[in-house]
Amino acid sequence: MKFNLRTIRLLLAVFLTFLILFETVAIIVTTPRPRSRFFEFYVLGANGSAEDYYPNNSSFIQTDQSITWYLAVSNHMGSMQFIDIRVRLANQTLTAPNDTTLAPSSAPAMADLEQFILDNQTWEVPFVWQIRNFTTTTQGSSRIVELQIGNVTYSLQNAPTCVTSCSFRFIFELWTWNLESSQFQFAWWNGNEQQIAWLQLWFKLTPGVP
Amino acid sequence: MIKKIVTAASAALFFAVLLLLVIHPMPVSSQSNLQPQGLSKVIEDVLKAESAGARSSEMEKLAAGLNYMLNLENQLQTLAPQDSNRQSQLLTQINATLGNVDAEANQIEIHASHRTFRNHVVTYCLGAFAAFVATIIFHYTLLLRRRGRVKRVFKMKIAAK
Repeated sequence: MKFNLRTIRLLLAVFLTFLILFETVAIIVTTPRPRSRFFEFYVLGANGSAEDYYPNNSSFIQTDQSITWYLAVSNHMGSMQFIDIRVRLANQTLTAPNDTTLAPSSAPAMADLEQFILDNQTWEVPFVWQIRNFTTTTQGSSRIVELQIGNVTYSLQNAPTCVTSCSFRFIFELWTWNLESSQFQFAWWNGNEQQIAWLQLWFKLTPGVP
Repeated sequence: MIKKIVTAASAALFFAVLLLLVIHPMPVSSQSNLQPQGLSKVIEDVLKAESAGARSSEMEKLAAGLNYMLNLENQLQTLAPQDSNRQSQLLTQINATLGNVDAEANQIEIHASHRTFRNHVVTYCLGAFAAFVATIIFHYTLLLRRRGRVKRVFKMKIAAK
């Protein structure tokens, strides 16, 4: 088989065209694509579904009544994350986390739930709690004195108080580990913007069956 | 002539691979010194292994090690202050776990980095090979079309008008 100069030139041009085409495909395949970075943070009821958060569907909680919730975090940050769910006990007046200023709640932190979560993985942790003891003043304001979360009982010194008609709430904040500052931070970066994730569940105290 | 083209293409490919091998940064094994290290350093090493292309099974192993360390830390926090023996035992275990995870992360990073680089080189070489095969197919298709045209010309009958 003989090749003349014209054929060689043509074949060389064809080869270079194909080479550029296939190498472009190779670059696209091997280069990771930028994607949105976020966490999914949700709480489920005792049956592991978005219902039955309170016994008998009543948010009036009695002393020693055990309540089970499931906190879940899905990591879509593109890498393994070290997260901390900060549990706070608040009343109606204490501030909730601010989505604009990205400030955490002013309520006192009760407990921390820490975990390393791989990318695209979900961590689900049971949150079992009960009020062990609470006091009520003659003015009608109540204060939780002893609270059990899991197997740990917390004696609360400066717990928020609540007047008769008001409600308490658990605030769950999602904090992530910052490698530069070597501490947990409330917000994470998604491109150029910072995002936060938090949840709250309300309840009322009652000395007997409501 | 075709031999020359093939030789030139092979030489170009060889030099391209050689160039990629030279410019690619090969991570040097950083042996864990097993001294008490900050948690951030260990996490950073684990993240380096992940970005180097560690497999999900490898990452699961590293995450399991780190979560085990958290479990030990939780145990340490619930201990009574007078239980100093158990405290020091747990502290040693925590440091050892962190050290193991760090060393493993460094090893995984080296292997994953090599693996990823090898995969990239294979992908780029496949691209060049595919271009070569496509050119040959193009050439023979052109040749067959020409032959078909010639055959058709010879089969033509001359009809008197």
